[in-house]
Amino acid sequence: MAKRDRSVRRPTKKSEYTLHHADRACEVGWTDLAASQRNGCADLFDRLTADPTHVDNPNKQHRLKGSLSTTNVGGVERDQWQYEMAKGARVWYVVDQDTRSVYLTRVATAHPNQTK
Amino acid sequence: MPNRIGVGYHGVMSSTLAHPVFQWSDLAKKPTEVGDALDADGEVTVTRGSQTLRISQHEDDVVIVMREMCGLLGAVVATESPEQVCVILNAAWPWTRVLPTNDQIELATEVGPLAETCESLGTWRPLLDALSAWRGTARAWAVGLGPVGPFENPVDTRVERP
Repeated sequence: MAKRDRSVRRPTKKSEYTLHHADRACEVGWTDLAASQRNGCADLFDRLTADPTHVDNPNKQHRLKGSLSTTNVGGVERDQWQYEMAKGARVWYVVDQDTRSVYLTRVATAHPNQTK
Repeated sequence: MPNRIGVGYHGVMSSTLAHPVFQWSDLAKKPTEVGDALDADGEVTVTRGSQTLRISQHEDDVVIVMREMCGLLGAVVATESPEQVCVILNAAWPWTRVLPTNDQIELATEVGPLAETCESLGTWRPLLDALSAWRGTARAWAVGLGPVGPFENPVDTRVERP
């Protein structure tokens, strides 16, 4: 008989944003990224749940520009942000202020051309 | 670290150490370093090909150069072909070459009015932030990342905190 997972899941504060994957690829990417940059992912999670549009370092976190500046999530075109992490990894996300939700739209662990 | 005139620039050695030398693109890439050098030495030189521009602390020329360059881009967007705008933009900021052509035009169109706004506000932070965002976008294009979506029905899976 399989063991039940008894780990305690951290509740979300009312003031916090909830984080969602926009698609299965992001879910897989996040798992891979967390495996290689555990602390970095934890820090990013905390940052995005607290205030996803607050920028401390514009070189690491910024709105994407030009043709990457928006994407459509759930039928609504939203501004797209990028957070650049160590080793060339980057996370893209959009923010739904009405529901205080953040959707990860791309989780790239490294240079995509390196695997070709 | 910037070069110093007479040491390393064009490989010419000189016995006198003068003021730091930066590339034109350094004004956008590392304005803080240029500003620090200006504070420390009182004067820096900016080079672009064979052209040089001497900036002294008293004239606050970093600001003037940024304003004039952004104004120039704004002017060429209004008068030149998209190809020519891209040529000028790419010469000033080589990292813009990885952006799609339409995005290069958008960048050139954005910075002119933004520079004017910054000047009237008395702070260059909005322009520097915009350039940081464009450079970050260029880094994404440079590693082969392009548009994503649409996500009509996003999966309802919460992101787990590691």
